[in-house]
This record gives sequence, structure tokens and C-alpha cells, in this order.
Amino acid sequence: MAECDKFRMQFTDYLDGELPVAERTELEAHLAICESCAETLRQIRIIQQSLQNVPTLTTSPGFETRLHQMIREQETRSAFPFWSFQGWKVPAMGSALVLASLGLFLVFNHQEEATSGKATYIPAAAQISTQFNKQSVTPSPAQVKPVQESEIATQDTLMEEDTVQINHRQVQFITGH
Amino acid sequence: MTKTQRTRRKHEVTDEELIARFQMGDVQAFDALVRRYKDQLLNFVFRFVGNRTDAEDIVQETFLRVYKNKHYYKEIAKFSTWVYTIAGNLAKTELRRRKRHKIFSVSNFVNEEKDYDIPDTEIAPDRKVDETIKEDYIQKAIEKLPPKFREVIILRDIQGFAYEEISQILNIPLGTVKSRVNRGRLKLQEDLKFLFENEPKGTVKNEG
Repeated sequence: MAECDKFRMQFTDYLDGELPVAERTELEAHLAICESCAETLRQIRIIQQSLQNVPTLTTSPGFETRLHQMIREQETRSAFPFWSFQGWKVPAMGSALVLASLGLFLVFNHQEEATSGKATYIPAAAQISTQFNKQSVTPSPAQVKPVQESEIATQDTLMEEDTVQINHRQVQFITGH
Repeated sequence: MTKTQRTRRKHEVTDEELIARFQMGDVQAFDALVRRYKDQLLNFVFRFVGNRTDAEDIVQETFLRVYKNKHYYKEIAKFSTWVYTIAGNLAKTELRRRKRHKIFSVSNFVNEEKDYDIPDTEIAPDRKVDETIKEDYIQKAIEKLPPKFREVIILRDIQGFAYEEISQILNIPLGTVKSRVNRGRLKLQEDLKFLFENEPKGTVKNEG
């Protein structure tokens, strides 16, 4: 049986006509005496022939139209990257902006109250927070915008990585990654 | 060179010329590549994932990636190698997605809805081999093969690729390709041998 296994591993080379003469002769001698291997090879030939004759499918009539539509959508997303934010990202960004606005409102409102001279109790933590906000936290619109851009850049990077992911090392070499 | 490629006319523009034109901005060259490869990619992916709708979606996605990443193609490999690599990887991703989905579904006792056809293990016993084996038997047997054997069998025995190009598409050594083809064929034979049982000798056409 181990001998049969050895010969069976040569079937592909034999069928492709790539088995060296000495090994081919040895295999054919084995096939002449081993009914099991001869029958297996015969069945493989029929299966191989059947594989070559499987019906060929054709793409559905609207295939190219749909592809062009997908390409147009892709290009639209590239032109307006904000649209490429998916599902949860838009509401999440919206919520973040609302919270940031609320925070700014509270900070400025608090500062106005402090400068108006009203005798208001200010907890120590809030005082520290106010000082801290005065120094570094109060963002200008110009500081907010780059955050969005970096988010978009991250999105683009993810898409690139996805592209790389579908390619194995050989295509990574082709694509220069 | 595949069966389809062999049938092309001698003076037809090559794939590499077309992708070069496309890289220069000629969108018609892209359309020509789509027309040239859409059916053969569909057959490759369909045999791999076993579902026509999914296969067509994967082929669409393949061309979309080609369109979007056209400048990543460098003419150190054949265009066919590149596009088959992309399609093959997307097909494998789909199989992994299904596997995850299946595990999730089973863990949640949701069995009534399946998003793809699971091959039948029971095949009608009255079906015998005539000149060739019926396509549905072949497809089911292909789907039962482990993916690493399935992909080489499809590329070699159905699509007619040379071993060298299969080696490049799958990024595996030539010897591994041949070994997997051999083992894949033996597995198919093992799976389909019941069709040959009680078959009168001489009724099956043997080209060998």
C-alpha cells in the first residue's frame, strides 16, 4: 500500500507527460499489476475530462452597467471624503461636535460669570479646570478642523491597508508595498 | 496561458498594453479588460464559492479594485496573474466571512436561514457516469475540497492555467502547486468513486 501511495503521487506528472522515462516505466509496470491504482488513474482521467467540460457561466446582462455605477459612486466618495464615513461614524462625529460645543459654551459662560464679579461658589476642581482651559484647552475653529482631516486620513489609510490585505506577498511586491 | 487566452487572435492588443493605456487615462482600455476577463473570473470565483450571486459580486469588486488601484500594477507580472490574485483573495475573504457567519449562527441557534448552499452529502444513487460526470456532482465535490486544493484544481483543470502562473497567482512554490493538484485530484476521485461502482467495464469513455 505504501508503494501504491508513492506511485499515486506521480499521477499528475504522468498525466502531464512530465514523468522521467525511468519513473514512467516503473509506474506503468506497477499499473499493469495493481488493479486498484490502474482504476484510480482511470477515474482521475474521467474526472479531469469532466472538469474541462463543465459549463461556462457568463456574467448577467447588467454587469458592466452596475460596475460603472459602482465606479461613479466610488469617485463621488473620493471627491467628497466626508461621505465615505460609514454608518456609526457620522452620528459619532456629530455627537462629538455637540459635546465639544457644549463644553466650549460652559467654559466661556463660566469665564464671563467669573469676570462679572458675582459672588459665586466655585469648587477647587472647577477653578483648576478653568485655569487649565484658559491656558491650553480653549480650541479655536482652526484647531478643530485638522482633527477632522486626520480622521479622514485615517479612513484613507484603512482603505489602502485593505487593498494591501487582498494581495499576498507577490502582489505586495508588484504594488510596491 | 488559459484556454480563453489561447483562443484570442494573434494581433489582439495584449492585456499589458490595455492596462498601460488605462494607467494613462484611457477608460475604454479598462472596459476592454472587463469584457475580456469578466466571464473567466466569474467561472473561477463561482467554482470557488459555489454561489453565482456572490461570485458576480466578487468579480465586480475585483474590477473596482483594479480601477481604483490601477497604478499599483507594474508590468513585472502578467495582468492575468494580478487580477486573478485579487479575485482569489476576495473569494477567500468571502469564505472566511461565511465561516464566521456560520459559527455565529450555530452559536445563536439560528439555523433556519443560510446565506449559501451547503453541498448535499447525499447524492441520488441512480446517477451513473456516462461520458463525463454530471456538473452538479463535480461542483459539489469541488466545494468539499479544502480551499488550498480547490483553488489549484479550478485554476489547472477547469481554467487551464500553466503551473508556473498558478504558482505566481497563489504565491506558492511550483512543487507545492503540483503536489496540491495531485492530492486534489486524488481527493476528488475518492469523493466521486461511488459513481463508478457497479459500472460495466467499457461503458465509461476513457481518453487515456
